[in-house]
Amino acid sequence: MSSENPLDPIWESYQVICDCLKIAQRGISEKNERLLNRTNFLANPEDQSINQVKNSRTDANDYVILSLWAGFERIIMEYLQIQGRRILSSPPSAFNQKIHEQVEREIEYWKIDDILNIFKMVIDPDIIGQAKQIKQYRDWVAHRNPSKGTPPNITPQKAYEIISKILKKLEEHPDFGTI
Amino acid sequence: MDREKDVILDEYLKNVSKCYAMIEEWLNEKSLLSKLIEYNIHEKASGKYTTKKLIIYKDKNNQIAELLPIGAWIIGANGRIDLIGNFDQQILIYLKKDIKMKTSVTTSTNDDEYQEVSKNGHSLYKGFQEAGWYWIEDKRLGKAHALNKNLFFDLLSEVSDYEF
Repeated sequence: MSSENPLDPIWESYQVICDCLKIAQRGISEKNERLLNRTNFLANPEDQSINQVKNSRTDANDYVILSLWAGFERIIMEYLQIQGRRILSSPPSAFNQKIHEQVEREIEYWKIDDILNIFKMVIDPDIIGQAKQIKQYRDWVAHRNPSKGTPPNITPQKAYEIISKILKKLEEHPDFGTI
Repeated sequence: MDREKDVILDEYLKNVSKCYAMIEEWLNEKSLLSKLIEYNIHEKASGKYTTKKLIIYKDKNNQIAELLPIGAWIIGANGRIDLIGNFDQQILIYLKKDIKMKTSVTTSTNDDEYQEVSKNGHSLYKGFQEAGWYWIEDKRLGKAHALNKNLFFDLLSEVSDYEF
């Protein structure tokens, strides 16, 4: 894995969206019609447009957590699949080959909580606990199931920091770094 | 509320009344009924104020649409009324003047000095002729049409599914 954080493109894109929303809000507050020309803000009450921008910012915060989590899941699945290939490291027997095929296929269906628990061996369990809270929040954003109640809010910045910390630890760990 | 805001709100309320008077005449010609009902609006700039909404009936008991004032502080316009029927709604805005968008390109020779290269401009809304109420056909294309009797009944049909 390269030393660049693979989640940086998602994070940068989110920051651009936040900046664009900030500019839109300024355009509305300053009644800058040149900026707002040919947008759906035209002919809307100013208060309503400001609220729309604010709501969009809240949505952007939720969506970036969804994206960061999806990216994170994909990366750790890849880690596990790479680890699974160790079964084939000495000249692989037909039996080892079969085990490997089965593991590689099944990994996609493992529960993310179980996967995160495996990583407790190499990453501080507290950080893994925080990652599970991000997952809980991500699930709530994706499904909005009122019967499950609202989990503690996670800020995008916090989610990005926790997930990045896990990926960095994995990259530095000898088991993973040598792959 | 300061003086400038008072002026904006007064103008809007007068323009709403003029719009209703014009539409009531048109409705009479088609033997449609109408009724004005007090309506409260709260805008951040002005606080709460009272105006009227115009209910349109095809006969005594059957409402087909209403004209609902939305506010005086509208982006790129000087007030808005919505025409709302059971099937859809349309936006009417008051345009006082043509808002010209500068499309000039500027070049800088140093940080403090800017030179305007072109002064070509285009209107915020294509279709603006003079101060009055306009229907916004498409915000993104900036298409506005001056409200007249034919257009009003087309819009009324569209929002209410009532044929004239």
